Order: sequence, then C-alpha cells, then structure tokens
Amino acid sequence: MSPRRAIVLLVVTALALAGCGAIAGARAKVAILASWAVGSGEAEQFTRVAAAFAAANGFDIDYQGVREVNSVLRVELASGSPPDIAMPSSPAVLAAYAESGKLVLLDGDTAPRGQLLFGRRDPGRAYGVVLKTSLKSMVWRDASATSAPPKTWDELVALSRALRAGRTPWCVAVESGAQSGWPGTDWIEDILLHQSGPTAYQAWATGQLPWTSPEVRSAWTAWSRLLAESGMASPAAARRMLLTTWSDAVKGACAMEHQGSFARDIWRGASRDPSFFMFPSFSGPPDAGVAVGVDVAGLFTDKPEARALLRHLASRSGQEAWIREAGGGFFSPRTDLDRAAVYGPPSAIERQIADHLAIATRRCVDASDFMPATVADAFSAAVLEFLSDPDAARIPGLLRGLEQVRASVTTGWLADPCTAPR
Amino acid sequence: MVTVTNPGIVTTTSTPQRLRRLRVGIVSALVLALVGAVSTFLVAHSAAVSVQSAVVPAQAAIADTWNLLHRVDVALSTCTTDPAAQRGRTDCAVVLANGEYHGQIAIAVQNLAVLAGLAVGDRADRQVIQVVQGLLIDHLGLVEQAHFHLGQGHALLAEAYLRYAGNLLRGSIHDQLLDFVGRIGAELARQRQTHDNAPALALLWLVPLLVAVGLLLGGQVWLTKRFNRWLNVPLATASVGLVALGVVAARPLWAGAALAESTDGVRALLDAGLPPSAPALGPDDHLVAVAATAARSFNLEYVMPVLAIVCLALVIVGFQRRLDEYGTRSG
Repeated sequence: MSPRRAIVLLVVTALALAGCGAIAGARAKVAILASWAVGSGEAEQFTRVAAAFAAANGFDIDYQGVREVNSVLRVELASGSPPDIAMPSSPAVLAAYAESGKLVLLDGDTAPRGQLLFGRRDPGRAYGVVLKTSLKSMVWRDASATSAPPKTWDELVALSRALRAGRTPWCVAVESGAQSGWPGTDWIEDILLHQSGPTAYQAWATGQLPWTSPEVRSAWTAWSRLLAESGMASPAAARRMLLTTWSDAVKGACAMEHQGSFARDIWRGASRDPSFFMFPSFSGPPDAGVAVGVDVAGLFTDKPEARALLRHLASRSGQEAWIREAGGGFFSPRTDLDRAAVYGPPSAIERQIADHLAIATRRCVDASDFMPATVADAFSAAVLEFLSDPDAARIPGLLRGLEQVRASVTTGWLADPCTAPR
Repeated sequence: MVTVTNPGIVTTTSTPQRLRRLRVGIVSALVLALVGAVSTFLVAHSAAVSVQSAVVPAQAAIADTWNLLHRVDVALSTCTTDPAAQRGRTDCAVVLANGEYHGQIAIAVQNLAVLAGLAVGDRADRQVIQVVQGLLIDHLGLVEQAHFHLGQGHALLAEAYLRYAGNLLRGSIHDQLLDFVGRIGAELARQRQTHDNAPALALLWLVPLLVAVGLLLGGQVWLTKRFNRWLNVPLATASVGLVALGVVAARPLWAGAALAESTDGVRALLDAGLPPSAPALGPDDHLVAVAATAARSFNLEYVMPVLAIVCLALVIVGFQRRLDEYGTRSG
C-alpha cells in the first residue's frame, strides 16, 4: 500500500470511529414538566437532585417549569409531545389524565403504598406518586404579638376577639390570578376536617356529602363567626381580603395567618418573628388528622430512565437529598426519614412541621385539589362571593348554588383523600 | 522557449504550455470562486429571508397583540365599579356592556394563532403561544365574572374580578409573551451569527476570485509583452466580469451587516422588556427595511453562474486566440 493510500485509509477510519463514538455517546433525556418556575429556588433545588441522579445513571434531564403547568401539559399532550414526567397542579388533574388513559401506570415498587395514587380505571396499579407535601392545618403567628397558642376553636375565637383592639387579628388575602379564592377554601376545609372529622371530610371531598349538609354549613358558619369576632366583617376588611394578593397578606399589621408550611419564607421575609400552632380542635373528634397539600407526579411515557428517576425522587435517599438542597424547606410524604439529621433539632420550625406531618394519624389532601375542576372552581368563586360580605345569612344561598354544581358533576370524583401516612 | 530557474532545478516550459497552464489556473480559480460565492450568497440570503418572512412578522404580531391587550387593560383597570363615588372615571358597567374588550381579546387570540403558524423557533417555542391563548380564555372568564357580578349589584366582587383579570394579564400572560419575544430575540441572534460568520466564509470565494483576477491581469501584461499587442479584449472583459461577480456575491453580506446592526436595536427592546404600562414597540423600521432588502435576491443566484460562464468563455477565447496565433507563427 502506498503511503498516500495508507493516510487516506487512516483518515476514513478515524472519521468512522468518531461517528460511531458520537452515536454511542448520545445520552437519553428525560423531560420533566412542573410548576416551579425556572430560576426559582424550588426549581433549582429539584433540578439539582434530579440532575445528580441522572448524571450518575448516564442520562440527562430537560426541566420545564411554568406556573401554568396544566395549560402547558394540555398543549403538549395535544401536540403529541408530552413530557416524560409531569407534575400538574393537583391530584385531580393527574387523575383525569389517568382516567382518560394518558398516563403510564407505575410499578408497585415506585414508592410505599401510602405515597401512591390509585385510580378507578386500574385500582391495583398506581398512576401517580406524591413527591412533596405541605402541612396546611397550621396557623402562622407573630410570636411577639400573640400570647400562648390556643388549644381549641373557642380559644382561637377568644384570642381573635382580644387581638382586634390593637391590630387586625388575621392576615387574610385571597387574590391569586385565575386561581383566586384558594386561601379561603383552605379555611373551610380545615374547619370542616376539625369540626366534623375525617369521615365527613372524605365524604364531602368525594362528592358524597351535600354542600347543604349540616357539616358543611357549620364549617362556613364557624368561619363567618370567626371573621365577625375578629372585626373583619366590615366592607373595608372585605375589600382588603379580596383585593390583596395572598403572598402579601402578612405585609399588613396582622397577627396570625392560616396558611400552609410553604409560607415559611414569606413570614421570615416579612421580618416577623414567626412561629406556628396547629389548627385547634373543636369539641368533636379528638384526632382529626391534618390537611395537606401535595405535589404529585405521573409518567406520560414509558421510558426506563423516567421510571428510575421517579422511583429515586420518591425514595428515602432522594427525599433526603431534596430536603438538604432545600435547606430544610421541603417536607416529605415519607415517615421513615431521619428527621433529626435532615431538619435539625426539635426547636427548628422545619423540624416541628416535619414532626407534625410524620406523627399525624391521617393526612387529608386539600379537598379543592381533590374535587373535579368544575366543583373546585365553583367553591373558590363561592368563597370570593362570601368574603365580599361575610354575613352568615348569605351562607345557605351560596351552599345551595354549590350543591347544584355538585349534583350536576357526575364524573371526575376521586376516592380516599384521607390516608394514614404509615 | 522559456526557461524557468529555481534553486537547484532547471525546467523548460514552451509558450503554448505556459498559456495552457495559465488558462487552466484561471478557469480553476473561477470555478472555485463561483461555487464559494453561490453557496455563501445562498446562506446569507436564506438567513435574510427567514428574518423577513418569520421574525419580522412575528415581532409585529406580538407587538400588535400586546397593544390590544394593553388597551383592554387600560380600559378595565381605569374604570370604576362605583361611578357615584368616583366621578370623572368611566363606569365599568359601560365598558363591560359595550363588549369592545371581547372583540379586542378575540383579535389578540387570532393574532396568536397566526403567530403560532409562523416558522419562528421550534415546536416548544410555539407552544408558549398556545399557552397564552389558554390564559387569555381564563382572562376573559374573569372579566365575564366581573360583568355578571356588576349586573347583580356586587360592585366589590366585580372590582375584585377585574383586579384578578388585570393581574393575570400583567403577570402570567405578560411573562409568557415576554418569553416568546425572548425566543424571537434568540432567533435573530442566530441569524446574526450567520452573518457574523459570513466574512470568514467569504474567504472561500474571495481568495480564488482575487487569484483569478490577479492571473488575468498578470497574463494580460505578459501577453502584451510576449505578443506585442496592447490589449487582449476577451481577457480584459473577463477581468471586468470577475470584479462584477465579486460585487454581486458580496451584496447580501453588506445587507447582512446592516441587518446585524439593526438586531442591536431589537436586543435593546428585549432587554427593556414589554412595559406593562406602555404600548409595546413593533419591529424596528430599519430592521424591516434591511430585512426586505437583504431578502430581495433579484435572482442573483442565477445571474452569478451566467456571469461566471461568460467569464469562462471569454478566458478560453482570449487564450485560444493567442494559442492559435502561436500555432500559426510556429507553422
């Protein structure tokens, strides 16, 4: 062979090897869609955990974070390019996709049973997994402005009455764009859970308890009374509650806020001295459990890497890594974590929240996240209407309207909003 | 007989051989210049066409959409649900009853449908537009709620729903539109990169072209001395033709440079964002004009080969005459 031919052969071989290498080196990619906006702390924390696992297992992640996660998911599905993993805004949205057969069912070993969501289409196999939990049955308070936390509802009403002389007892603000009203629905849900118990809560959230029932009416009436005793039934207070953005609620001169564990940073950012107490019990069932918000994920493609990533995110090691990335500001649905190691000493607020979640006998998912969207939207609208004039006399009319909506919606109801975490 | 001497090497080249070699050299350089020029022209031209047919209309559509939404926002956020207490402000009942906001949002949704159909960005980029369409429906729902409650005499609720609608518009909808504008900016930046690379690509055709012109001019001088003729007309004409070819090939690059300049203006607009309280700017007039000029090809991609073929023919003819003449002399 002439030197010239040898050089040509060498060059061709090198190019062929480079091409093969490029093909062999093409890594799989898992597309993830969630509501944590790109660049936000939550998105950064999540992507660090997911990317670390992906890198260790030879694939990449492609994270898309938008507040309008449901709209984006709908469009992506319609255009035939769904993400591999999606975390829509509520379990009800994910369940609707499961009902229509759009979700890939999960393996049984994806997570402990209590962390999985099961549908009616295939009750034996889960369609979703809870990756994150927020404690909702809690009241943030300005420790410098309030005395000892109340233990019962009546004590809470009395405290509110006592506080109204010097400042606004409650930080209530319900503006949240197209989702306005949800902080008010959280109030009703928590009152109903603690006043009438988890059985009534479960029946109501699954569409089996009428809105005109004594249990539901009593919850609305209790909230109305609390607002009245707090001096917040005036037109000026109504205006403030309706027109203030929910995250700005603590900016006013108010003492307490019924808000989930995710408000931790808002309270700290408002230069308050935050602490919290658990939602007080009524004279009814002694152990009602706690209301929680959940972030759920489902598989939209059957990619092995996506299954593995979801399994890792739900696992103990994945959850602990996530907590560390979030500096303790992430609360896990799991109860088998070493809470002292990841949340710090019992005096830390994060540890206290995690302990309450872990020891709760029942966790009841936010009912408005559990109801069909039509009912949930009507619920939010009714809260807004109520707050515009929080007079107890208007409640029966509002509930009759909601009951008409409930009766007209026959599909999309889910089962089992309350589960034992262990 | 011509003797060429290099250190240590002595070769002998006849005049016809040298004429033929010169002809081959010029023809080769000309072919290389033509291939390079046409390909560079096509790359630059396609980039300009993309800007003119997709980026500029997308910018115009998005600015038009935002201006429509801005008008809706101004109308709904400056009216009052309590005209008795706030004299001098427009009554929201009137604004909601005339339905103008409905028509404006409908046009905005139509604009977005057109926008989603333009070849800007990839499918993910166009999905942003579809999300905005969905959010506009949510916005319309909130305004309709305000209308309903105002009709029921619930002024505070109506005001609240109008506030929610305004916040949605100035929040998520604005952010999504801005996201899309950013994607258009990225597309422009990509086109600009093409133009930034064009001078380097130009070397591919400019060097052979200059070599060809140099050989032609050198050949002309040598032929004048060797054959005692003042001018070889075909070769001189070919030289002029080659210069013309260079000018034609460089034309989209000049326009491209101007296009690149105009993207600075677009980038400044993007950096400032679409102001929620002021009308958005449409595409810069300079960008529109430059993109249109750059995209207008005048069929130059066909003119260049024709010009090159004419030059080739002239070169062949010019040298052939001398070769024939030399043959006659020798004979």
